[in-house]
Amino acid sequence: MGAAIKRKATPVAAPVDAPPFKKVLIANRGEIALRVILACKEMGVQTVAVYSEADRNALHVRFADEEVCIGPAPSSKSYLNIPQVIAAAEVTGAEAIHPGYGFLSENAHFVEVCQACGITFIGPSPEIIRKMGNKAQAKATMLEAGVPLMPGSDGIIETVEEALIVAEQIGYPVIVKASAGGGGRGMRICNNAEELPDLYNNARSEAKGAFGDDSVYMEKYLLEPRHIEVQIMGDLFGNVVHLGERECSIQRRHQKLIEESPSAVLEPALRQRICDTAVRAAKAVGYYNAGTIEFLLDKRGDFFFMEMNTRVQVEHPVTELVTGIDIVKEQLRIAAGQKLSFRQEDVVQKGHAIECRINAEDPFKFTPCPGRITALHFPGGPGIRVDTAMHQDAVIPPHYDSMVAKLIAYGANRTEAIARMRRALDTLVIEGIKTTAPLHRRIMDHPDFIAGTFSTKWMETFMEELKRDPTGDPR
Amino acid sequence: MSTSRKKSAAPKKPTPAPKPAALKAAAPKATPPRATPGGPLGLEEIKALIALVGREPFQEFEFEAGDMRFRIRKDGPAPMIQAAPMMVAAAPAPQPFPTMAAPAVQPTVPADEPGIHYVTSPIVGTFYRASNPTATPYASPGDFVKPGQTLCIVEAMKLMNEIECDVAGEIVKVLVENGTPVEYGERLFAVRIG
Repeated sequence: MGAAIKRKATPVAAPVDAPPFKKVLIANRGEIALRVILACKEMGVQTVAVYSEADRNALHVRFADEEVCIGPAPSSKSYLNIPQVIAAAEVTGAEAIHPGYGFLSENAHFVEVCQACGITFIGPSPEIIRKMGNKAQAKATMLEAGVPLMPGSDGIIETVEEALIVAEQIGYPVIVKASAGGGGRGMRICNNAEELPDLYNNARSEAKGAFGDDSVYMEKYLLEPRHIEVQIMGDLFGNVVHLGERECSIQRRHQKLIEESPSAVLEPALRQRICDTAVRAAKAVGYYNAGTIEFLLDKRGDFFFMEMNTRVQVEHPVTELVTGIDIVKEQLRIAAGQKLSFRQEDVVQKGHAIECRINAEDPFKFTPCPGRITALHFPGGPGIRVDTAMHQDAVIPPHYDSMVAKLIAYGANRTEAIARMRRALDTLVIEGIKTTAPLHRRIMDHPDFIAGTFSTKWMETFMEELKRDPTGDPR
Repeated sequence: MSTSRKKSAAPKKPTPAPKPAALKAAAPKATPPRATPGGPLGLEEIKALIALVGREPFQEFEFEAGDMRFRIRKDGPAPMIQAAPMMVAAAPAPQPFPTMAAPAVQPTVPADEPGIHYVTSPIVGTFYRASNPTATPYASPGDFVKPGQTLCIVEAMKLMNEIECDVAGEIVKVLVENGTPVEYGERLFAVRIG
């Protein structure tokens, strides 16, 4: 041995170049399962696909290194069946599980089972998932961290008198919501003190019927709110950074249809404030791995915390395109105990990206349309990314969600991104089933969308327009 | 799958045709099942014949050729082919075809050997034939088993799950190597029903 080179103490974080894991099981299906497999392939990580009997011919099964059938078609017996997923990891020797989105991705119990079985869950801890999954607890935590919350009642409102007092403090309009609720049931918007008593009682009885629990609370009701969310990434060493915002205001019944990054309306100072607030919120819960903090932004530039999603989002590609950061690969590195591969100052939003969710639905009635794809062509060319697990002759089973592809257009600016999305939609061919592509094509030509003047209510008025002019072809 | 061969489900084909009496017939013309002069029918020919009967509005079909005679009935509690007792003993055994659902009800499931039932794994895990490495296997080829009898263990998440037989019959084959992983629906044992 020659003269020994003196080294500093070995770094705590694992080396960045080595594959973070030898083998990862993907506890999901469809395009997100494929997305994770692609990231693993790039990193030299072996993959295990799990699948239900309905997905025997799916692409995630085909492209994974190993595959395990874990049950029949219903998700409750396959993709949501924790013992089956864990057993699949055990028999294949997978060290880690990526949950994708949906299914088990925000199930704290599943994370605990993974931990008990010595399997790394690629996501945050069960404590964080529980904390952010519980509305009341999440709000209390955010309040403590100085994150603006929607002005509202401090918990459940017991009487009409109390409702009137709280509404007076918040200022009309207000919304009465079921504590156990969701999906618009047990929800009433109220414009003044005269109509409040009736609406309050209606909301309670509807909540009782829908959820067996008539407790309601009250919040300020925002006019023309915009859905702005911030992508967060944190590591196990306490580093938390944001990857900028996404705007997801084009939604129908709380289902996002179109997402973009950056938002067309955020001024730099406001963007900075929202993103800094998101980082503060994530740090307050000791967040690690990928997460998203959702805000509602009102006309005056005030924004309020809605919720945190403790997983990778469907719309993560728009952030990847404008920042150049591969979120899924970073998730694997973080889970393997590596430090974040970038710092906040390295994150720059460049250009503009738009994503359209192409669903197997009637484009104007939104009725699901499962079936067989008889012909398929995906657009390409500069600035187009397609995340999908569809293929010629693929059968879309009725058991799962209806998304068939995410079409993502990137451009130097929003105008170019829209132009690319238009021609991508024009050259997209999916035959055999109905899809929402024609709806997206119309939105891309709508003056409101082009101007960026829309809110989360915009789809409602657009649907009215469509009813009046159902055949109008914008091209 | 255990559901794929329900023996008793009578096809009840809604056929408008009047029920013809037992049809005595020679081999139908211009169809594959042809009686080899002087020899018994091959398995393939019999299968084709059954398929033909399934398509036609017959309820019952009786067939005689050389030393062989059988009857196919479509309705009734247990559609079956009755092999005549006078089958030539020397015939190189187109192995027994004792019971078989009428072809009309045959779903898209691939045709398996008639009379064989496959016990499948209801869970993902590791397959073990015995309760511990030194114990004798729960079931081996040649054993007669009955419903509810433990055939093997599938270990998942440190739990030993006993897999029970769902039919009565004879173990013909163990299809998985001891100690190897199995997935949901994987075939573990072939059981000859009887």
